[in-house]
Amino acid sequence: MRIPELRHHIFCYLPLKDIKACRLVCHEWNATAVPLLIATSRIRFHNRDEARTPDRFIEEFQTGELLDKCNNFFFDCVHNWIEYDELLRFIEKFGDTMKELTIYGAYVHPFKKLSLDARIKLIPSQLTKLDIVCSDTILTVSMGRLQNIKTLRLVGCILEITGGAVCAPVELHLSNLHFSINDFKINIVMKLNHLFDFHNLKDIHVDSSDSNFKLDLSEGALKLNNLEYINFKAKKQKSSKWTVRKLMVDTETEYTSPTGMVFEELSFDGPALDAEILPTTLRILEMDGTDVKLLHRKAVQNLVNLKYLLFHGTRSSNLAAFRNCANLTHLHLCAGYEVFEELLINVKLIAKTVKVFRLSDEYVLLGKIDSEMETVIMENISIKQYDDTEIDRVINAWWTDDNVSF
Amino acid sequence: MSNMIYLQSSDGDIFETDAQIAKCSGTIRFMLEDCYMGEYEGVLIPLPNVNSAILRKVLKWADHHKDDPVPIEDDGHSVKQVSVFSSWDAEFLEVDQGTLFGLVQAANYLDIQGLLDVTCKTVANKISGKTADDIRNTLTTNQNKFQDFI
Repeated sequence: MRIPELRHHIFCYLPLKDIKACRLVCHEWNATAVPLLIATSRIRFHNRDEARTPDRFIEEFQTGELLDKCNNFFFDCVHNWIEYDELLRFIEKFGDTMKELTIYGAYVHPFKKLSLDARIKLIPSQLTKLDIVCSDTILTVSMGRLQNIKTLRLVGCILEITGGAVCAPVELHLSNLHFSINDFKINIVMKLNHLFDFHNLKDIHVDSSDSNFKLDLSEGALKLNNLEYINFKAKKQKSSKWTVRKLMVDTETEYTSPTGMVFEELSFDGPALDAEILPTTLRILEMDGTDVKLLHRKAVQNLVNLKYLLFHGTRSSNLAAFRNCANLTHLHLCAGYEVFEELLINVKLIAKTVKVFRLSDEYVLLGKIDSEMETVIMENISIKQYDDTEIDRVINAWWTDDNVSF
Repeated sequence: MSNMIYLQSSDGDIFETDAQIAKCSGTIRFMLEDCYMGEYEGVLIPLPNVNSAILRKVLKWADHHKDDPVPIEDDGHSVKQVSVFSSWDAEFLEVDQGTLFGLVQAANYLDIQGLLDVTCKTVANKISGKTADDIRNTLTTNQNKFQDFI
């Protein structure tokens, strides 16, 4: 018995590369896989192949089922090879079926003034995903066309604010974003909380450098999967009732997260992390910066749920602070490519509770690893022998640097 | 108050089950509500496409999931999110290929969306990462052939 519907149902759980493999099994499987392949594919135009320009595509594919079934388009023209007019012609012709649209750069002539009509054509109103990244040229996106958008990424764009327009995304990525009203660029700092409806939001990724917006973490009680904020200028945040699964912070300033925010995972890249503000719900901590200073280190012992710790080439004294974490079982030390000198790690600083220890890149271990560990992984490590004098020298140097006792 | 009904497998075995549990099947629910107008205490429903070994497993699954929320239907054309299913389901589906395909077909015939999803996911996991040749070899080396079913 062969039931194409069941085959289709099974294929729906496969990623694209596996659907491609299924096509080659037999004619019947091919017949089931092809429509799914088209439906999950993205038609991509890029600037290295003349055969892949939108105009050529219109000539060759304006009839047939391809455009009826594929609704995901990607204009990959980072070197500004595809002109805005060409882009618009294509969208005008096939925009009715589009669900997802990605534009990486599009060429707008510097003396050309885009009419509101042209801007409206750029975004078909039924789109659910819009991803625009512009660097050399700035595109204007009308807020009034975003009412069905679930995933929105705008980098290097101007967002035209229109009265009454509501955009309630599930996923929001904003960077290098500016705003305009009635064709006039405005320099007021906009509050994202008021600009968008946060009701459905699950993921926020915002970079405030070179942007005219701010995100108020004290407003509302959101429950998010991911919150990433980069280069926030405010040194201190107010208290927050947000619950976040993974918080990612990349900051040039000292990090003081809002008190009260609950998160399970923190990836931190900045000059200093205040242990006092870390919630007891924290399970995974990644200190991504190569030289993060840990403030109020005694508070680390309150992190009773901390299980995974990942350091990128950080100071040894930070490691010592985590020795008394009751449930720390996984430790990963990764020197990373930015560190050009050997990093010395005294094994006495490693918490006794650690069961899985992974060491990557140019670290030098001082002392023997605890035999009670279940798994030890060492990768990209050059083995070096140190004589006693050398060990004394490096330990003394280390004591002086970090002033840690054990 | 429980309403006990009887389900008859293709090989003649009869299974007694609570109507509420059996109604996770769209096919059985339709029969009970439309053909018996709600008066179904003690009725016997023949299921000619499901043998007793598979029906026993289906009822076990249905009993375990009797308090689950009703799954939301999608358009059926998009690639589905592969969520991790429960350890109970994973253990339940550690069966030979013939039984697995029997469960897929039974879930489809009985219109049990939750069971169809987990069984199809399990079959997809078996296909995933394989080349076309690998898949064909899997089809031809096993006693219960993939291709006979899908």
